[in-house]
Amino acid sequence: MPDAYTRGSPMGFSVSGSAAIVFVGVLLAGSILYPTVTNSFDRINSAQSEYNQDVRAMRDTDITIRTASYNASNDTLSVVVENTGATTLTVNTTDVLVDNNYTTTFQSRSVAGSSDTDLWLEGEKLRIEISIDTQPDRVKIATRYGIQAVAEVA
Amino acid sequence: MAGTSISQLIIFITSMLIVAGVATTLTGQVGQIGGAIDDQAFELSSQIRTDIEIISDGQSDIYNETSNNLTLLVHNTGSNQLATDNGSIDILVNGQFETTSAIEPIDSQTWDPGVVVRIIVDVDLTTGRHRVTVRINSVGDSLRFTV
Repeated sequence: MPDAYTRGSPMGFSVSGSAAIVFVGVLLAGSILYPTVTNSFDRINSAQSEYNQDVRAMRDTDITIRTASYNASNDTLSVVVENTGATTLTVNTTDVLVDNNYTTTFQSRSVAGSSDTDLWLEGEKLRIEISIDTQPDRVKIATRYGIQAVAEVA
Repeated sequence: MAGTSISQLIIFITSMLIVAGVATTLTGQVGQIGGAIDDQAFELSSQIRTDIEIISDGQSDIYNETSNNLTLLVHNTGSNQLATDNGSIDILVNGQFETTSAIEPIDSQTWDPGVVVRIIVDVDLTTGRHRVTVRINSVGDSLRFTV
């Protein structure tokens, strides 16, 4: 006596039909999930790679204040900072704090004698001159990667 | 015989409907999981790209005893543009949450990488050593200073 499956009844087809629908569903779910997961990994990897570059640059960065002096006769504070690290810094992203006051106006800023360049290469000295009425106590220089140097003004 | 076929047909249609429902739910749930993974990746990458450094000189007078406020200079040392609203930046002075009266980027409209913001915190402090922490996107920096 042949059973329902061997006779090709709807019950037999329903099993393979259900399997096909589930299979298509799984494929569809996979095709939704796969690009999302790869995009997410790419996004995190790219952020991690940028972070690693910044950390490497931060470790390679170092600055030293060679002199910080105030000339009372012309009310000028002169600071000479040397790039003692292994990264190229920029003059515009170098912050100057005089007694914790952020300075935005400078009398002059020159790297290795030139005031035209924004690049501050390894081993070069940045000379900053600021007009200020009274002698400040301290000056602080901070670079793009947060590396800082402080000096007492002589 | 006709009765058997009809009942088999009903069972067949029902099973198809159930399976189609299961497949739809599955794809819907996976879509939601995908959305959550995407959001989480966005948050995580934004957190990785965020970095700040308090550049204020802790040895100088960063606290104004007349107006009872603390002036902090914070440099964006990461590679993300950061928000400058009160809800995004948390300030803790000696572990206590404090409100800010001003957060202003210096020489810029937005807090881009490399830009410094000036944060003014209204707080009453006594003479002695204190500690301030600035946190944004779960990333922070601390500074010890003397009043």
